[in-house]
Amino acid sequence: MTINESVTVGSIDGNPKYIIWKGRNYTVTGIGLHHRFREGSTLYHVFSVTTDTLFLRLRLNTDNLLWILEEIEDGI
Amino acid sequence: MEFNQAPSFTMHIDLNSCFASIEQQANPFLRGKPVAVAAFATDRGCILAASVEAKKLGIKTGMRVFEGRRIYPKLVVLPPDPWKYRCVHLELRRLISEYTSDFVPKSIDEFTLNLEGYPAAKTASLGVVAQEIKQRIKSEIGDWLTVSVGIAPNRYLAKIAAGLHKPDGLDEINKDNFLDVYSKLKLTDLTGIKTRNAVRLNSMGIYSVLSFYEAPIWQLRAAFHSINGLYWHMRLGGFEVDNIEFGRRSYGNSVAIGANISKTDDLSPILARLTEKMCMRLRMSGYSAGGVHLGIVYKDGSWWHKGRQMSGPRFDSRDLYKAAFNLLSEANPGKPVLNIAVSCFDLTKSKNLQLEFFNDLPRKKKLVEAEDRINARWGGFTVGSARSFRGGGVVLDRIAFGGIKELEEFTLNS
Repeated sequence: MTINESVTVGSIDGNPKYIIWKGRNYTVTGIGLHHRFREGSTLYHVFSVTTDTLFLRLRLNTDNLLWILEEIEDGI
Repeated sequence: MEFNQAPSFTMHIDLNSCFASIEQQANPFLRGKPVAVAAFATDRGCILAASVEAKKLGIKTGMRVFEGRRIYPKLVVLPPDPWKYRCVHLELRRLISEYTSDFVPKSIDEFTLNLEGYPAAKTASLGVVAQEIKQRIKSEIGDWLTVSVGIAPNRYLAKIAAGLHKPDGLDEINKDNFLDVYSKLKLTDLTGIKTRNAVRLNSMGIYSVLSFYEAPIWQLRAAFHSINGLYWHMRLGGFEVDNIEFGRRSYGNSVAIGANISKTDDLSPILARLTEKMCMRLRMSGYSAGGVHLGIVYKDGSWWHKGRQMSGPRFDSRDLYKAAFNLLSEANPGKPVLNIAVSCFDLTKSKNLQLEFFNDLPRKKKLVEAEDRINARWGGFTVGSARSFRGGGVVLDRIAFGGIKELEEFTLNS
């Protein structure tokens, strides 16, 4: 499901460890893939992460350090 | 001809079910399930990659989504995410470059390595090096990613070896086992030998890979009516004939159109978008083009194409669009278009402009360079022709099949 909402992300060594979205805290249990892309000169980091039951796709804009929750799926 | 007695130093690495495996790498909940990456997730969308699990069920690249779902109704269908795949390609490239500087990406998911004289091949056998690369891909790039590796004295046989056991294979074809390997293959198992070439070989009495290998050069020349006969003779004998890299001769962009579009007016924004994309890449590499080519494939299976020389080398998208639009007007489609492709040819490095009497080229160059700088800073198509913006919803970012030339163009560096 596409979300595209701003979220708070706690990270260690650049890797997301928890996400706060709509007042709820989600603990990241695994990072499936970390990839990057540029749009113009702006570098974005995309983390495909999982919690115990969810898949989430997070995007970090390295210009303004804003995290966006792009997508969320349950275990399908 | 005796098979090449030299040791194997060529390695072919093929990332199994590339796009689908990378999606499963990103989302662990998809692992172990039949997954397909399709150009569009709609029923008529073309499947670009199927996961190992989907392939086991008979779902193949090139099928339509509805065909895949007929085989397995719960098939997970995802749209392509090009930068995910490009990043994995760049990671693979980084890892491979630690073993040899003499490597060639053959496509987004295939690499050919020459390890002759490199330390890795001096201290261990190529089989051991391959196992190490496999292990490092899992630990450094993605634990779900597997590669099939082929080792041989030449590129061609290394690719064949990589295809012997998929997924996660490791095979070598060499002077000691080539007869055994050849005896188990059909002619059409060989890359480059499909129905038409098989018929050519059959016409000369060649029905098996072994008889293909044993055939004298005159017989193969007669079968292929060209020097290709000699090249095939060398390939199957383990000698290198494919280590030639061809230079860039054209730039092009194409798109498959889902909706039923047949009018020139409706096709022109798509053509404008494709032309701008093509011209940005052309200019980024410092080229001008002397001609434009337009190809159209219709939904009824018919096609039309034509190329035309322009009055001189051109670099401005508007000039190339004009030429392409004239071709589109000549084509006057009138029936639904499945695929439209524009390309430019006759490339010249555009360092020094030949001034023209009626055309202020230096001024035009400055304007185009300013546009390119804006797009480089703020992203592609921040500025462009108004017409091309209407084509934005149709022309999406995609990875070309076997598009090794585009791999030279993408980078994450600013």
